[in-house]
Amino acid sequence: MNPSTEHCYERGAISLELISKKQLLAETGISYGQLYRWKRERLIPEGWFIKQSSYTGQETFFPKEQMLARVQAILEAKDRYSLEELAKILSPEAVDVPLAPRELWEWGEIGPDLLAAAEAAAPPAGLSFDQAVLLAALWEGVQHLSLPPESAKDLVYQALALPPPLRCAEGGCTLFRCGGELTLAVTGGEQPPLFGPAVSVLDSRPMSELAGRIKMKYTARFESGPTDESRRK
Amino acid sequence: MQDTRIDGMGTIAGGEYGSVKVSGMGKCTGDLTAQSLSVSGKFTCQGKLKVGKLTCSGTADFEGDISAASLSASGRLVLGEDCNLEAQEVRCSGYIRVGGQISADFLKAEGAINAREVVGDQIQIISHSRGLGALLFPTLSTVGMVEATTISLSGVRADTVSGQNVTIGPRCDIGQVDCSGTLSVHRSAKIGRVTGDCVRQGL
Repeated sequence: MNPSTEHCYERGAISLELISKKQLLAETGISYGQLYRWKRERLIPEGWFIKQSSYTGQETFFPKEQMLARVQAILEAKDRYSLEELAKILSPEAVDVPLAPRELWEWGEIGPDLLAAAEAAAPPAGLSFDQAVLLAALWEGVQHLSLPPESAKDLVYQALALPPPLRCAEGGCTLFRCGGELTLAVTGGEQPPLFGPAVSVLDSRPMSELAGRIKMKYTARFESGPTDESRRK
Repeated sequence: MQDTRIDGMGTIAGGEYGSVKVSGMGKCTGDLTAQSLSVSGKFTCQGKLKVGKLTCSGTADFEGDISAASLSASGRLVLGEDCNLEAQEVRCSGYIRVGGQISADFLKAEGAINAREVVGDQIQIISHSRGLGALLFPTLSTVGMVEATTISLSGVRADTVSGQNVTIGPRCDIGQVDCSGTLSVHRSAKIGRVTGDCVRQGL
């Protein structure tokens, strides 16, 4: 990796990898025109345009993983949806319709470890959009840390016990240990949270991309009908 | 939604309107949303503007951001410090000054543009130093950064210009050009340095 182009946004133990605007265009093949049009159409949040000083002066960077995923999502979806529809799908506003844990599992957003716990702990009407996003984030964290099934299930119960509003689309999911207890937090904003020394943070990930992806699957599901679901990753 | 017009001296409250026409001296005291705004006199807005079609043949000053579908300025349009202008299409034969950023799919200026940044898809700024316009408005354009897919500039002073297809015409003074496609530079243009993988063409 070239150290001069490697930028990280570091707070505490977690760093958010950044990608420069130039590198983004080179890697994705999109043009300046597309980037700025998508920003104007609110397909890319303004908060993702991060200005930092680099050796060439003031440069604009983006959160790397989220931005690359968002660009791919827009390129894939732009022929099926108008820009306004895409903006709605990608906006942080939640979708109102409840979701069954089984559908989340069918979409590949949660693994079998979480499914049983989710089905046991979900409200009778189904999961809210925020809960679905949180479980998907939890699943990523559980896999990343290779947590045993018992720990994973406990986290699911904790997650589904959190009172609304969760606003997951704009926040992050943090898994941490405090006093020997493994627990989770939903935190606001793009930055990972800062804790004192008694807490050891195991995993912290933003949820905006997950939220966008799940919302797109919701929308697709309504178009094709609930029986038409095939397992997708 | 009501249409409204100001022919003499008048003030309108912020809010939502159909068409707004200002031929006299008008002021808006808040944020303004309209299907169209046409200024042939003098207009001051203390808030931001969200509009379909904006036409300014007079003078318009805004203390907030502007978001428009299309903008045509043959007169003078000024946005305050840190204010941004976004539109699908911008045409300027007069003078547009924006404290912050102009973001447009298509921008064609024969008049003068003054902004911290001009970004978008197709940006063309051809500022002249002759004619009646030269007496009324500042003629050369000054922009901090220009960044777009296709750029064509004449009579522009800019710190950095970055684009895929870049044409730097006469009377330009550019600090740095970064081009990833084709670059054409007029012999009279002053350029600090050129970066990027590009093909040079004659002008």
